[in-house]
Amino acid sequence: MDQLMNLLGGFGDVLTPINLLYVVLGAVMGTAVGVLPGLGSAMAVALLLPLTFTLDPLAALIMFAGVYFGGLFGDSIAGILMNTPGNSTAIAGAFEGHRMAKAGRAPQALATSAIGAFTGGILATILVVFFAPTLAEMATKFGPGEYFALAVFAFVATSAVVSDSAIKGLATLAIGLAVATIGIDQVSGAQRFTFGVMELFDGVSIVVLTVALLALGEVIYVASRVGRPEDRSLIASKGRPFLSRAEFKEALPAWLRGTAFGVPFGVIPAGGAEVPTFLAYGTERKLDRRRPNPMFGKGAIRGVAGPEAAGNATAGTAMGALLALGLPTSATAAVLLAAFQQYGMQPGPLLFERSGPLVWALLASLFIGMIVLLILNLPFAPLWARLLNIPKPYLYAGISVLACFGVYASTGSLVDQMLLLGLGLLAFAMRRFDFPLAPVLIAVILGPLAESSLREAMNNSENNPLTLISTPITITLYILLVFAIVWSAVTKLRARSGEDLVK
Amino acid sequence: MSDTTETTAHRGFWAGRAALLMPAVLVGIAVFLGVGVAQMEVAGSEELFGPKAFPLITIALLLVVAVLLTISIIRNPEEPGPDGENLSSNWRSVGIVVGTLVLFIALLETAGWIIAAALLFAGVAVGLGSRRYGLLICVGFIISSLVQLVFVGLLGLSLPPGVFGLF
Repeated sequence: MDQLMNLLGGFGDVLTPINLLYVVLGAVMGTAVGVLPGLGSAMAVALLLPLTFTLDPLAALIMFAGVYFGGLFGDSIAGILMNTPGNSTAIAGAFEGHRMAKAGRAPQALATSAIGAFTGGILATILVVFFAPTLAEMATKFGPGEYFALAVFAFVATSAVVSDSAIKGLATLAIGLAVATIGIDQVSGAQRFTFGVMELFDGVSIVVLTVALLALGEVIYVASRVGRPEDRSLIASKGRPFLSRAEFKEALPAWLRGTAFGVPFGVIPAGGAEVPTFLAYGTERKLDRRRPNPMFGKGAIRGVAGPEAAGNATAGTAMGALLALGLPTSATAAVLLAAFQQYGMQPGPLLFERSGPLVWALLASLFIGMIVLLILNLPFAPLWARLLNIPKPYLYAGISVLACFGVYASTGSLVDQMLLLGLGLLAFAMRRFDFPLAPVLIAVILGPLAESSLREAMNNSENNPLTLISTPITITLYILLVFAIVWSAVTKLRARSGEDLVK
Repeated sequence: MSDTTETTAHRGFWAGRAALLMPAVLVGIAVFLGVGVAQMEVAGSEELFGPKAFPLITIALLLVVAVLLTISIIRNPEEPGPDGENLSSNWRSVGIVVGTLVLFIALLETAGWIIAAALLFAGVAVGLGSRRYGLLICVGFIISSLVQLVFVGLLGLSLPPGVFGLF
């Protein structure tokens, strides 16, 4: 019951008027960025990072708690009302959500999604409170072999298993690994690929990379599509924003099932919530077919409830994996890791001992943030949707200004602005030719970990490669990975032969 | 039947194969890493898994993927959509946006944040199809000044003052 006491202590730290204000501020800004088309929670954290530079660590972390989940609450609004999900994790929920909106049930779809996000997030965060310290203790036994296996798992899972084309995924993974090696080598102190440019000694900043890939690349991509007919009609959300008792009862099992799908995926480094949201969607659809009156295709409330809960449950446990293992399992977690390090917190097994009070305050503010977000989103979702009425030129011009500002404020160098532009162009090419972006981020985040653990393991064992598969944990991880590859190959082949409602 | 072959022939080799840019980028990065590895000065003992090992693995991965990618793109070129959807990008818009970003970088530390960011806003909006130039410049200045006020004035971050620093 130590955890409960610690958590109560955390609540004690957070429940002051000024800190509550930071939670609300974070939640509002996170939701706002999340609502904007094309920007999800990773961008919300990256763009708002410089905002928190002048705050003290506790206030900054509290604000991030709001931003982190705010982005996730927000991105389903665009998906439901405009059929343009702000994030890959909101795609699965947008299928039925948009159909509900078309059928005049937009407020109900938004409410289902908000409550689903709340349920998934809260349940997952409760699990984190109880199991993160145990996880951290387990992780103290991890050696370089285990960390290398985790990194390899993340690389292969995000590039080959999750993305549509394994070759394209591996291509962007390789780009990310190349970017990750830039900078001074941690082990030997040798300069690598800096060519004497001082700004590169620390490597490419994760903020620059995220903003370039997710924001600037998107702006240039949208520019390249100017002049094409597009379907961006916004469906107005009018009427009662609450669910009737029958609707609530209908959605409840889907929320819980979605949460169950999401929870394990937060801890697995597989690049975020795409897989669990689609698994939840697929399950709800299968269950729906067995019912006397199938609703899928006509705007099924369960098709919104499942994926939304799964998405936020993944985000919740991803926070646990980040704190306890120091392992970012999604792009958002990766940016958050950079933010933590900015404040001298080093996530990982020792975090709970070293920065205990901060961590528990962060966990407490996650709970408060989620309640604030539910309040912000349930009755006010139609208000948020107004953001989608901003004309596109203004919207993307604003995003560009915000992106350049964010990068300059966090690094203060022109070299980083040039990197931002260069990587933005690369991201545009990747968007244009349908290359996945997630593997780049994962590779840059986990590349250094993979490299240092590989070198440590090999140098400790006189270059015997068998050392990498010498413990039960590593063997389990590699078996899991092989299983995932086979499973994804089978489902891809099946999907190719079968007709799908979605396509 | 003959119709399709004709159009394919007419479209030429590069049509639908613009994605070959990506393997070229991969090879470019591999060359960049290769040059870096060759120039790298490593102090101390030459271990098998020193600072060069991981870049070399990355180079190998880049080259293998580039080859596979090239094969796959040549075999399956991008087809225009069923409704004759145009695949090519609007290079005019892209040019304006990228040009604006270059201008922003050039002006940021010389003319200062307020001017550079205002032009950035206006330029990107024009690139995205807006034609209300006067309004855009005004909105741009309002936004850049607001950012300056809030972040420099209230939160104490530093942004380049540029010409405004002369007063």
